[in-house]
Amino acid sequence: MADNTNISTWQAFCEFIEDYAKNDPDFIFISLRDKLGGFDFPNLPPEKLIHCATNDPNAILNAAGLALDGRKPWISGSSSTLVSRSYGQIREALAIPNLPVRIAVYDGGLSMGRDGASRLITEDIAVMRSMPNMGVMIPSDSFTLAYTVERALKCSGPVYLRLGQTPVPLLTADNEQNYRQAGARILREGSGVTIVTCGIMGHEALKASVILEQQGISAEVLECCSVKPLPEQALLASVRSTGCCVVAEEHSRIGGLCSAVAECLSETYPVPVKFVAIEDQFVHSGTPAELREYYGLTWKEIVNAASQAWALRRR
Amino acid sequence: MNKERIAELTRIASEVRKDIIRMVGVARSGPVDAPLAIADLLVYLYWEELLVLADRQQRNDRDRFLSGSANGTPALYAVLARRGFFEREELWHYKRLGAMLQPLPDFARVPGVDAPCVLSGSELSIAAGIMESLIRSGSESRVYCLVGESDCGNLDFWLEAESIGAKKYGNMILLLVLRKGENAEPYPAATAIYEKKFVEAGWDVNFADGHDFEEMAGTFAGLCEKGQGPKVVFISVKMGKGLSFAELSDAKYSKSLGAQEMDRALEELEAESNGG
Repeated sequence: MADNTNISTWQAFCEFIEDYAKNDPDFIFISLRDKLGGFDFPNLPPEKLIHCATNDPNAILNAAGLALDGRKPWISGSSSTLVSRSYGQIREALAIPNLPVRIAVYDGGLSMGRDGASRLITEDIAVMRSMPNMGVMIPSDSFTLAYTVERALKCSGPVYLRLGQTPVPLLTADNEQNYRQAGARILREGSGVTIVTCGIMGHEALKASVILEQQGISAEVLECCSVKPLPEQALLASVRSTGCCVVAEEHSRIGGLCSAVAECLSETYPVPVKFVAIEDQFVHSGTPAELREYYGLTWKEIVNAASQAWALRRR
Repeated sequence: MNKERIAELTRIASEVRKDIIRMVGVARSGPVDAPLAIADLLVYLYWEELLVLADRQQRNDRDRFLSGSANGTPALYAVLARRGFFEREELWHYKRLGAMLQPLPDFARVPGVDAPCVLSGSELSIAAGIMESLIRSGSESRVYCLVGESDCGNLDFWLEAESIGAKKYGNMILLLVLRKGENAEPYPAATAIYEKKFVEAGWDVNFADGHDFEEMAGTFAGLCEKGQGPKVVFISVKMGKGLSFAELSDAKYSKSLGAQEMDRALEELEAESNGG
């Protein structure tokens, strides 16, 4: 595999899948277009790739058919059409019968910012997470991508994998650090505040932790690449030592990682929790960097939220 | 098909109809007209056409049957029970909390069911996925997919039909159930349009009366002699078939059946099967 230190999670996914497919005789991938998200599969054997000539809802049902005959297909497409146009099909044909179909979307979050509100679906995690039987994963770099894909391959039910187009470096140079708890890893240890992140916000959380350190607040950064099931033990272990929490995600503040963390903590270990996420609104078009700045998804907001949460915690 | 066999299938279909009435009547919920309409067709398929064995349900070389008729589900349950896939006792728990037989078949729980019945899309797309997988495995099993006329109003259905036609899935058999037309016409007015679309998409089009076992036997026997492409059979049915009052007022019996109506229906079916 190439040096994946500064590539998008979608590109890392394509490279990983091409390598994986060579060794798996049952591998099958349904693509909705000849070129997926500007990156195709030149090395994927043609017999392992099905080009769906129809549309997204039919492709989901095709995948269900393949799974019903014992296969574990991958299907890839745009989040806006797969989640919105194919919701009923995903629910009825994949989630209710609990079929092992892996859905990978190549334009998660704000990574296709120029496309505007219709194409930028910032509530996809909420929709998928609330669907019974559906697993939800959001890798942040090429290292977590490999982990999440391997985890998805072991799942016996459907999985939604949110990938993006923004090139990102590895979150940490220490790639030897494995996921000690299922679906989560500590990117930086600390004792003053827990910052829980997923996807591209992990990079902003690490920047914020450096600033917070200068302000005398020791931040622990916990990356949850598995939003459902949520790695609750890792979350609770961290929050028990810090006493407060900030959740940062490139998603609506409703229904995503923010909600998952709040649901868990409010029931088991109530502490002050602050969110850094998109407010309840549709987004405008712009470059991904502009949009993250405009909608408050940067290290600055994380620093502010962490300071507030830290001030609220019980002494 | 000889007369004895036709009489036997007619007797089985009559028993299936009684089971449909009993299960829907006991549940106090569920459609009657659609299950009665496809009862003869399902009896023909499960007793004459499909290569399936109740005691070896997971054999890979079995034919697959997918029902896209949500309202026809009681008929599928009654046929599967009578064919030995599960105990008839299960029928009397239809739609109850925790029961195996839910309003739509749970393929993981109901023996003999090959796929979930989806309301939000066309069952034909699931059938296409199964067919693709079977072909890749080198299997020659056939895939039968039953859909209703409502699918024909869906663009996704026709896109899938065109895709299947282009791929020349020879073992794909689509059963398009059509209500008999007004003024005793065997098929509805739009049938010619559907036929033209299927032919243009590369399908072989066939016709059969869904209540005439001899005609169905002739049509299905002829399918294997047709070309390499997929086949569609236009099945003409009468809603509420077998019950005089349901045939006359099909809209009323698309929802449920009251206790008095259940007794009346069973008396009528009993009298008919006794030659009354």
